[in-house]
Amino acid sequence: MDKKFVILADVLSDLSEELRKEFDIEYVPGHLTYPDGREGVSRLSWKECDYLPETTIERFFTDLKKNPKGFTTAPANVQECYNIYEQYVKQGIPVLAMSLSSKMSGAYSFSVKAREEILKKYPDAQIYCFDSLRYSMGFGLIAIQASILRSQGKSMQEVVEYLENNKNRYHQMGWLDDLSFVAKKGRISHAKAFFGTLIGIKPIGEFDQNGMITVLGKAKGKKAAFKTLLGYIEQTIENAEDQIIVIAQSNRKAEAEEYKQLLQEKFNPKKIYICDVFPASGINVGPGLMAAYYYGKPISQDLETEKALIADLLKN
Amino acid sequence: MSLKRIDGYTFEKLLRNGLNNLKNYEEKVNEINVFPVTDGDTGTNMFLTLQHGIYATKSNESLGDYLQDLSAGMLLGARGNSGVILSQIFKGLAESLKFRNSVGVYKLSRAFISGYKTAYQAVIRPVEGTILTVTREGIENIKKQIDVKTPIEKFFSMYLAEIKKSLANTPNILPQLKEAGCVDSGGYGYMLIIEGMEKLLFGEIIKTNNSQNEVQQPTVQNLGSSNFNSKSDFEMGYCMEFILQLLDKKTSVNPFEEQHYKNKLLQLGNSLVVVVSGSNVKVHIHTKEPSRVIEASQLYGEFITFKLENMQLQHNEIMNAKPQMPKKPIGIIAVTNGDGASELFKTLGCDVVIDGGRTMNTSSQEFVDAINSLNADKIIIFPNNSNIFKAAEQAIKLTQKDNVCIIPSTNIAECYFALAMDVADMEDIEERYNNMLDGFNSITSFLVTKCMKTCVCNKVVCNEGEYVVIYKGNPIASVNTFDKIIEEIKKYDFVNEKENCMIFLGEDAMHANREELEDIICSKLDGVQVDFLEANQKVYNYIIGLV
Repeated sequence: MDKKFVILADVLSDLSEELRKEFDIEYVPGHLTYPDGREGVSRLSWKECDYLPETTIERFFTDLKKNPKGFTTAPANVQECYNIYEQYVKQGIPVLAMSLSSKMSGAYSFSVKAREEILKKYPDAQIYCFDSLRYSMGFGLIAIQASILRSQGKSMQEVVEYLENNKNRYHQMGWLDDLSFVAKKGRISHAKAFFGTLIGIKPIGEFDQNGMITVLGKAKGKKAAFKTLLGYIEQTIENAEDQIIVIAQSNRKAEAEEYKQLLQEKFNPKKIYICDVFPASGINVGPGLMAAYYYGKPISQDLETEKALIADLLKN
Repeated sequence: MSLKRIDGYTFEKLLRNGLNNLKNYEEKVNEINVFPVTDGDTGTNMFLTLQHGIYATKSNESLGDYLQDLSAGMLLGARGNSGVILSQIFKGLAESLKFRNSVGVYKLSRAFISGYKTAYQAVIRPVEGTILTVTREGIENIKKQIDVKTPIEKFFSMYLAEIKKSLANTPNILPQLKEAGCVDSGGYGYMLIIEGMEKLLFGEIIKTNNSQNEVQQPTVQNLGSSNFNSKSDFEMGYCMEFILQLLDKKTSVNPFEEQHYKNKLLQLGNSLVVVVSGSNVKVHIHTKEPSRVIEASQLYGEFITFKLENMQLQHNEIMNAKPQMPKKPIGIIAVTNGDGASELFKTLGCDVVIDGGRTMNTSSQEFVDAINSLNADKIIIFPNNSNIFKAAEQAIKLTQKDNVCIIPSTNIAECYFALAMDVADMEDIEERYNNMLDGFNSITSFLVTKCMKTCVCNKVVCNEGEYVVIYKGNPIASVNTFDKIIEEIKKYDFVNEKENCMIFLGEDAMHANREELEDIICSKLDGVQVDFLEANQKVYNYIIGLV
């Protein structure tokens, strides 16, 4: 297919091979270091993961949990972004370069810098750097939306306009069993997050306007948590039946399946995907993420509305 | 021996020494990484970036050529924010020294200026108090002091000293650093590279020590708290205080006149106080020239007492001191006797953990001390033992504070679940308190201890050596296996509705076979998720919490 423009996400989008194929999305890989000091390339496929000869999601997150400090990540740097953009620019293909939230990483600024450098050499190059203000499938879902709009014949300019106006409508609703990773990696909005082991409690997380993970409340046990999640989505989602909902999970496959079924029954959306959290996101979020991403009402300043909603749901 | 020019070979050797120096402090740099994102990887990223550059570059006599390849390698190998900035600094160096085979200090200093300028341009919104500031101030502060005669060694020493000074000042510029009580991690990493380069110029070869922490580390604290050092300004002067004994032998030659003496001292300083009492003169003065004050005084006598304090040092200590702990919305005090539980409580936001000892018998005084150590709008006490509720109440009365309350937890499981339910960034204190109260009320706990002596209690015959199961303060059964403990618990209907079972392992049960215990619980309590917590509490082998 002759692309109108290429959608180039980064490795933090957690878009699996299946999704990338289905929606014709490319991605920029990143960097990893492993506990033995070895450097690796972060990719969006377990087959290509260079941690072990045959890395599985279970093995990866089990090892990560045992040694959280042993793993580090870094996004593609300016030069690497430049090199990838250049491949498309040389062919005259416009690039929609999408990045993880600029509040969480330097990826977006590297992308912007790489674009500047490209323009010095190719003044006519068309590159748009998009700060998704989201991570993992929150970001991935926005890339999917870009692809859907593109397939409807929209130009890059039109797609960008839509995304910029609507990115604050992408929600995360799920739980994160273990807050220690996001706390240590600075990806949680709480300045003073406590991250001790939580048993029998599901911290319920949503994005704030900057895409930082915010714990809106804590549910006692899985049953209460699911009830709260569904209640929250019911009140924040728009046109559920026309939507694609994506569930991301880091080693919480069974619970994700359960969630999928509940969502299917209650909202009957167009499609629900369950996706793995890959190493680059995983190292920052840790094991225990189980969350749905969807399009809904705009997220309020400081999450005031959303906090009240969760407090209300938790009471009942 | 002094070096007038530097070529590619020399630069590479210096840089490799810098790389090793950085490697040795990599973890240290990671630890203080709080800005812009506290992801603890600055050291690793800077190291990898520089290493990539060095490894990708062939040795080259021409400095310009070496730097060209080096910066290309670093740009491609850059990791993270700090790595990208570092690679840009070297890109600036390379651009400035293009086609130069070797350079002297003047060109070198221009290159470092080009380095920081390139780095500033690479950042969309440059933030001061970071590596950017350190690289800028480091060179800007010395560029006027160097001339063609300055040897390379001297240049690096001066550059390093200014970098350290600028680094130590970063917490005063960037509030996030001040709050965390550290200097900028990227700036620290850069300082380590330059320090390694400088050291080799003075003959010190740095090897990487894989077994870290063996070498005495020039810690950040040293850097940050060197409140008075070779580069410090001296604006404040000394505070001098002494008592002068007037001596007849001297006053007979130089008659002592108070006003005359005062006038003389006033020319030497300020904040002057002179009190004459008989043949004693007490003096207080702030001066930069203590020797002249001494000289002026010794005309009339000798000192009985003498005190001289560096006010600059005191001033700097105050200026550099960590800010006082800001007032917290909620302060939490909990009693426990297991180190595991203590650690667990702290990671859940407990401020003071009182070691209750084997019997968990905390005194009122201990509670009073804990309460007084906290600066919070509301203070919550978890006694974790019903026998000390009174002591806690008494303590509250003694402190006469009306913002202290007790959540009457009778064991650590109740305290744990209350703390775990807290959402620390909720603004409404009462809501947080209610969440904790909700947690406390939601958990059902059974305590299991070994019976020391056969007895009858609560109509239950407790046999020596058996497990006694306690519910709501009373023994409910005496059994001999874990299996039977769960059987007893299961007799309460509500237990079958629980989703989670958490076992706090006591010091006598730390080595229990957890898989076996889990199997037992799962076989008896349908669909329950079992987790173990290494609380290491005394007396109770198991504390079983159900929610």
